[in-house]
Amino acid sequence: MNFSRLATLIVKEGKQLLRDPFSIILGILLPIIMLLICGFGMSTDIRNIPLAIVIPETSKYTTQLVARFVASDYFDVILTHSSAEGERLVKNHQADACLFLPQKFTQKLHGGNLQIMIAINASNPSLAYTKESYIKAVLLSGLNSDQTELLSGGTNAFLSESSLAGSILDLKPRLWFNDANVSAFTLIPGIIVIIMVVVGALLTSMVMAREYEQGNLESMFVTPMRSSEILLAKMINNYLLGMIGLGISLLMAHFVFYVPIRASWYVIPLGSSVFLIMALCMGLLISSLTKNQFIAVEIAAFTTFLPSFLLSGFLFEIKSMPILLQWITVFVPARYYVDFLQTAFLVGNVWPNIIKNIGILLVFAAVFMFLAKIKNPKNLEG
Amino acid sequence: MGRLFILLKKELIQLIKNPKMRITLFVPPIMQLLILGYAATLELKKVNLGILDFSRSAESRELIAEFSGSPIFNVHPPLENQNDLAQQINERGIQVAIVIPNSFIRDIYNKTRPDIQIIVDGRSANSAGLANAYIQNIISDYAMSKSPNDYRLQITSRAWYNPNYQARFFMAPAVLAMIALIDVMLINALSISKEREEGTFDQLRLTPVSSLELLAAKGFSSIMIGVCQLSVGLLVIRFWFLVPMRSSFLLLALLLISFLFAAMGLGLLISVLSRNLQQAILATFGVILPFSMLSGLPTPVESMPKVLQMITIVNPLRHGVSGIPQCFLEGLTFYDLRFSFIFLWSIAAVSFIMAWFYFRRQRQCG
Repeated sequence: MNFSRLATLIVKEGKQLLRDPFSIILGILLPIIMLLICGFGMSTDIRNIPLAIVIPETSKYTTQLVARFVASDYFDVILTHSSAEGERLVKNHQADACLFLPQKFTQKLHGGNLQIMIAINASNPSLAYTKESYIKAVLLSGLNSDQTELLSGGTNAFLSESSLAGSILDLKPRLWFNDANVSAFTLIPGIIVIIMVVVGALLTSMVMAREYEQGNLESMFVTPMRSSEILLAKMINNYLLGMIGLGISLLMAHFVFYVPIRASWYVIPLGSSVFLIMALCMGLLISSLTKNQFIAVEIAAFTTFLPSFLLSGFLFEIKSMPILLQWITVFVPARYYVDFLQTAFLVGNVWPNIIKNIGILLVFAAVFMFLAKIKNPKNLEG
Repeated sequence: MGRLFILLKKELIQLIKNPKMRITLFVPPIMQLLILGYAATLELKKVNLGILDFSRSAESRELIAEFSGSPIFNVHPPLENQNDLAQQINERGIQVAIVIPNSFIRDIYNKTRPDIQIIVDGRSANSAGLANAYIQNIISDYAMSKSPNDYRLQITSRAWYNPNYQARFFMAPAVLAMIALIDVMLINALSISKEREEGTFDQLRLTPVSSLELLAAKGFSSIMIGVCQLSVGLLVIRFWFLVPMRSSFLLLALLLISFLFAAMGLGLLISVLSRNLQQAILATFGVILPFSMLSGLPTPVESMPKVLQMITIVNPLRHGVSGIPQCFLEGLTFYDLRFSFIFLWSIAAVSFIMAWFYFRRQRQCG
């Protein structure tokens, strides 16, 4: 390793980057756009669910029950008197769910044997499941909390106004680290992972594959430069680009969306550096295996972008996946980075967690670095 | 027409002549589909639950036994105190904790709702909500069983189109849409920019073929690759994931092809506007990332602000993610999907015409 040679190479790479600043612009713009979308646009909270309620007969109790749904901003209520109409509304997508109140509602309520049916469009099952639990919660809290009073004859208290607010509160447990249950708090760490993967693995694999494709590396073979120097010079520029992206993301997360950063200031940059270096090595490996820009990008997209989007645990709980898939996620580095970021943002310095995740990422980085070194660009056989 | 056909043949040969390319176009996407189709599940399994029991009564032990008996929870040894609870949650030893208060027995027999505190690790908000629902159910069932009256409230729910809430019935078609979008957009984004990078753009200028024919040949070749990919994908969805097929096959095919054309138009537009291959690829990802975030796959479109919901209309992936699973699960007619068709074809037409316009100008005056 010769440092003056390395420095020259880095300057050369930097010039190359600046001459076509598109990747720099993207490296800066992408985090801004992604965070804006995430912070202002994405929410796991479902509101204004169009709900059809079928009431065969109007009585004081049905009106009160309907009022409960109308009052909560979780539902947009459409009233109808016939079941057929209720079904039609769900089938036409005018309503997501339909609540069928039985005939003789009042009589059955007093008789203590009330049957209520909910029909729900489950073509998007996770959404449907949540909507169903919201409907049930409003029903249950409405009917159960006043059950004792109802039985003791105090029917007027049924569905009392005072418990209106309580019905929704029942849905929510105490969420530690995120009391207000702000979706951005849990989503933004995931978004940062995606940004880092794209800048790290995707960009690097592309830049290197381009050198292979254009035959530039062959002209480097005849120079005294070592392959490790060539690789390092490529990596350092993309590393800087990635860290700029991280900086922008952190500043925006903190000052625009007020996501707390509870770990010490150096923890997130440290862990992110390790992840970024790992991603860079992965990008190098992919490019030296494929030597073609299109294939490199395809492989990078399918081995890094999609898994970090869907298998890293930021959208879907890893523990609930089928066992085989859980084993696959063990080899998804983004998984450890998501765990690390979530903890560093919302909890603080939990050293066992930090050490475990950074340690595993270091192992990944070492393995990819080793493999990239074996398949190094000065190896003519490839 | 003859010229177009020959061009199309040339483009296809160029696309699949590289054996690595042939593998890349078919093996990773199908593997991804097989893996990612399973990524989302609604069943919670083995949620690590810690219990801090201040009541230490026969009743509280009964309640704990209810949790131990459930396959959803993996009950950890009893927690010592609040500090122990905090530490275990911090280190992700447990995800959920319940605190049974001193007043538990009194509440149960007074028929008031026991004041059990549920604490959930807010780092993973999605599963937190589900776990909470299960816990509430177990507790209220227990409280009900202890109350002597015979009051019965029965709520039955029917999940239409997907009675068992099979998450993969939605995920597999949605993931297929995402894969097809990435592939078709990339192939198109590369088409013209590759000519430019390799210096063959000047040859395109001199070719006695109209710009429209050139673009169409590039676009159609990618559509053909996309159709092959989707066909394999559909077989996987139908016969591996066993997703029921309730609409007509023709409607599904029409929707998928409209989706591919929209992806093609956007890809071509990016390709024509980029100065080199690298720009084209980066721009494609610059577009695909927001598309996938606003597709309705990570978070529902309905929860977005109204303005953003309007913007998602120009996002082909949104139509794919909502339309394709619906096409499988609900028996849809053409009329039900009319908006998706209108928007997909508008995206395709506008972007293709713009690409054509710029491309023609570039060929004429460089």
